[in-house]
Amino acid sequence: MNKNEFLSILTSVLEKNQISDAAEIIEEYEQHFAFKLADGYSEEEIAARLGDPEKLALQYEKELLSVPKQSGILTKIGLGFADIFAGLFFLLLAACGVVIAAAAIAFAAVGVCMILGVSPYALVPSIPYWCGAMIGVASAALGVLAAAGCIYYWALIRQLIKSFGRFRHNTIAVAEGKPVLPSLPAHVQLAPRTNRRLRSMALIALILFAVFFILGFAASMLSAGSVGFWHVWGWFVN
Amino acid sequence: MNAQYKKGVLELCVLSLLKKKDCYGYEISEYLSRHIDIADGTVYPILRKLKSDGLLTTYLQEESGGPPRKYYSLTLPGREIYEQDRADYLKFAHAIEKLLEDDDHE
Repeated sequence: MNKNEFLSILTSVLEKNQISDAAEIIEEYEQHFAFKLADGYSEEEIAARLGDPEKLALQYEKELLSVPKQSGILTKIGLGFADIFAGLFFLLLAACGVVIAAAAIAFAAVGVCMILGVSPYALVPSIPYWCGAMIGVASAALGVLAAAGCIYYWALIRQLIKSFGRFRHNTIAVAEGKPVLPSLPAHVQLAPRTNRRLRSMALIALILFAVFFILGFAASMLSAGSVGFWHVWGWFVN
Repeated sequence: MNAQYKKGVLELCVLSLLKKKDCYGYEISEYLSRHIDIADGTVYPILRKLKSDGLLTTYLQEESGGPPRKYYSLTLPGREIYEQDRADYLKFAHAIEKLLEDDDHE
């Protein structure tokens, strides 16, 4: 079979099956012949290696031209409402995230002040230095724990927003008959290394907090000679 | 091998090549027939199907001393679907391989 025979069989079967833009398909095979001929193959060899033209033509599926491109306007209106609720939800989640971040900073700041033995604006109540330093370490550890939690929490919000964005995209794509992307998971996606680090950071902070809080509490009780040492040192009274 | 099954795997191979760089049809055909025992013509229907599914786009590029070539390029959905299908396929192939190897030792 030579080039012309191959192409004419291909063309006739494509046309019989009403495949759209058969010319473009034929063009690809013509180029294939051109490349191979330039490499020194004969038309017969090339046609034989291409395969049976009738079988090839049957591989082309009829495109579903009858599917009209819908505007998906109803879907978009519906999504608009979903956006309002989702937006408020994400705003609420973000507000909680800000609170956690603020708590982390506050705990860390108090901890550092107590370790350094300073009391800006007399905000830290009076306490013997060593007792204060131990409670300070506990507070700083709590700050680190809250920071780790905060990072994880923000990663979660980010993933939720991305997941919702993909859901929106796919909903519109379905309505308009466009290709759909794989949906995204709605749980935190961290690199395994980041995940491990975050987890060990939280664990160490938790242990430090527990140990130093108990030590600081015990030292304070011993130092004040009373279980309710805060009464002895006159805390919480104006 | 089952033709339908082979076609699915070939789609994955085409996407994998196009993830690395844009190629014209003949380049893809040559690449595949170098690695896998298939008729040279098989790749063209696959390219058209992937294009009509929205995984690929085409553009024409002028070549010195010749007609412009039709280049195939991966779209964003194509890229994501490739990554997912690749992971699925590798998991599947690994499981089958283990299964068949176990059979060997019994």
